[in-house]
Amino acid sequence: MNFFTAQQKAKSSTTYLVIIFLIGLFLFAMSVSLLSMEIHHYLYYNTFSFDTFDIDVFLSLFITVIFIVFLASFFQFFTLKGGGKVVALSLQGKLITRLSQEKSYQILLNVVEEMAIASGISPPSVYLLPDSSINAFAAGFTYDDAVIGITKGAVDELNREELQGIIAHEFSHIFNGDMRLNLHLSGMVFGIVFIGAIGRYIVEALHESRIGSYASYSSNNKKGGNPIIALYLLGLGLMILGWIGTFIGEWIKAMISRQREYLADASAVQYTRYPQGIANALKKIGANTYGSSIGASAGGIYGHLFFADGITNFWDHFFSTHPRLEDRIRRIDPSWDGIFIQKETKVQTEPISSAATQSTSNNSTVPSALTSPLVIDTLSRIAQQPGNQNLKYARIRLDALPESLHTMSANTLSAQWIVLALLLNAEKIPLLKQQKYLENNAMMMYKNIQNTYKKMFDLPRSAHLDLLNLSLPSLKMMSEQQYRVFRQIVIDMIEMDQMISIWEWSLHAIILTPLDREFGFSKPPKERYTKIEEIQDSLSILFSLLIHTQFSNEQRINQLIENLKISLNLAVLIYCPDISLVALNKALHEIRQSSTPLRILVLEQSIHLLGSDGTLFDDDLEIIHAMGTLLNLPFSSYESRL
Amino acid sequence: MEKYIVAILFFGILFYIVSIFNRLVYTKNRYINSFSQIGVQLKRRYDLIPSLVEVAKQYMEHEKSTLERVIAARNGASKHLSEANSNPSDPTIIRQISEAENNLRRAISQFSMVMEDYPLIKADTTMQNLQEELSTTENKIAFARQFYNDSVMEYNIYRQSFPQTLLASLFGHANDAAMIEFDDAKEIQNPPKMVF
Repeated sequence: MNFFTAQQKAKSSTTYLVIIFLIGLFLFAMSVSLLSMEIHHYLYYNTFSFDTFDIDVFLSLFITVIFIVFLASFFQFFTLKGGGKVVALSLQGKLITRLSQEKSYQILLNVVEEMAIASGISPPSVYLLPDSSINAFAAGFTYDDAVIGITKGAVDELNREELQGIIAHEFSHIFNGDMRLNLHLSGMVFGIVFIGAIGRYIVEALHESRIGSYASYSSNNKKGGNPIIALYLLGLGLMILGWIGTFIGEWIKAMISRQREYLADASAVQYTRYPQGIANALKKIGANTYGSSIGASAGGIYGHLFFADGITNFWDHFFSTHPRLEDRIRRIDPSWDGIFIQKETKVQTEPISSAATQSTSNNSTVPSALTSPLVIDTLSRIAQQPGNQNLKYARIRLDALPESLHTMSANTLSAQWIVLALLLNAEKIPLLKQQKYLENNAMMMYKNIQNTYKKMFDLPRSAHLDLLNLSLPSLKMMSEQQYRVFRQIVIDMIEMDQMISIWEWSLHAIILTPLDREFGFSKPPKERYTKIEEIQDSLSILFSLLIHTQFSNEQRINQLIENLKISLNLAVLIYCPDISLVALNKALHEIRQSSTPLRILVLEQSIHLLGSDGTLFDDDLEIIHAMGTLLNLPFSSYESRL
Repeated sequence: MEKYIVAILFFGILFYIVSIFNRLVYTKNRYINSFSQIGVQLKRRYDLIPSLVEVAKQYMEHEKSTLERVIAARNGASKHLSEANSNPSDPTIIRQISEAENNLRRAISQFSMVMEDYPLIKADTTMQNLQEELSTTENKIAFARQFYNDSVMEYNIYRQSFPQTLLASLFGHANDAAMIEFDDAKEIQNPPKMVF
């Protein structure tokens, strides 16, 4: 499964759709204007005329309609853009954390964590929707602000494999760029829906008030038509036009949505290599009395984000944002006998970690392939593991983490201790200065950070990265003021030792980049730069850092720079020995704003650079992983491209 | 020309009003959600206390009344917690939980004072582990409480500002949310530890 291609396809569909929409909007605005014009005519002359065509009136109306639709669309767009969290909260979702006692929630979180580690991203926050139906959704703009919602019914009735199937399906939506696509679609259709809503409002208001009964009285202006009737006709007309426009808009939207759903189902199968999981989940939905209907009224607006149809629709077949259950099941499981699975009492079994994986000690369970030095070729071979292997490997990695640390990552405060201890660890020998600083500024935490540091001492780098990823969702659970304090401590700690190691820097960037976005300190990057020359200064800085931490021989350095110049096709690439944290972050910020092919090129060259001394060590691999995260190319989406 | 301006103004204001409504809902749900962070830690604390009392009983057979007071305070607080979990937006319930917590803290500090008279208890490893856990939990409660109060403040400030305040009651947000006040507000840097 190549997510990169899937995303590009999603983007081009969006452009295509925008064009279709604009055409549709043009036609819509024309009809509304014609309607209004006729009403206007009626108001003044008490007749409908189809010969006179007052171009001025028509034009002004036309432009007004376009304005309104755009305004409404932007409004909807901005509302949804608040990130997945906004959607979850508006549906009465409650955040689930590892600390809850419920066994079934633990299993759910384990499933989400595995899937996230396997994909190379940090686990999205999981929200529980208080609904007895079986459904799930993924919302958000990018991996960083993605959020997964799941109904209580789903958690109660599905077993582990089925949950895994549903979650894999949602992850596929995230990686296929469906959320972004849907965001644009929603915005567009909303504008048209809005106008229809105005019409409906007018009609209802007239019905409710008794103004209708006054309609029989003639208006002041004997020559013109009755204003009440005019208003009524306008409302009716808008309603009908709005209805037609929405009809077509929703129809197009639904057709596209259905295709994306099939795609997500297929991706999920590839992810888990276990089609029965998803098939069974779908079969259970079929049997569930509530099916997949979501109670909260907002479910309608967000219908397209869900796993199965959120609303029981009269227009089921036509407008449904999801393909028919039966069709979906058959695509996955052709031998299905047509019978849905009734509710059964679920037996909760979660493999006891250490027993299942036979770990020898809590440190050395990382598969040997990655702990011994590798030649670069081997890396590409590993990267081609099929999805299921990734999941199994993720499970192993998760089980290898000491239980206490894993639990610590689930609480906001202790997650901070983990991050700060990792920063202490970055230099292998904690600097006295850092310790002093922590003592003075984070007094409540200093002892805890020390204890955490001791626990982490022998862990492999891969565990460090996993801990970071696992801590991220908890770190989002603080107030802005609290984040400011934490952020300053992190930055101070790194700048303190005057030298920035690449690991330190990656760590800080991995933690702060999504958090900055979460708390509104920065915005999601746009793809601005498509030519490599535009970012050559930033590249100089980035590669200088990579080189600096690996090599010190001047000749070697110059040679590497020359090689890079050739591979990147750049005329200018300068080696900068002294780089400040500020400059580095600026460089990364710029590189993140380049197009995907460009970022992939940068990652490839970084890997090459790190391996140019003949072998890739454990440390190097983790730095590569970190770079993947920093460049918004979570490792598995990169892997699939190789 | 004026027609355009009127139309744009009209719809602009309309959307602005809708966004106010949405933001009220959002900030409210946010603070409700942040309550669960405290709730979880408080529950942990309440679960640790009975073990604490069990260990203490072995050494302090004659201090029954102090121990009983701790258990009673703990039970009271635990009950209020389950109420609060199901309805975190009710200010009276929040105030109740603050009170119950303060009650518990007083009982525990009395308990620690009494413990001073029994030096043997310090050597007990179970007691030491419990103390460590309780101390960590205290830190987490303090942090989560700060988060909750910050979220509540965000909601209250937004609700009270102009022009939202004119519409707030109309939209069903008639009251401020209550912050959680613990007695030790001043000594928040030194959460009540078992003083040995």
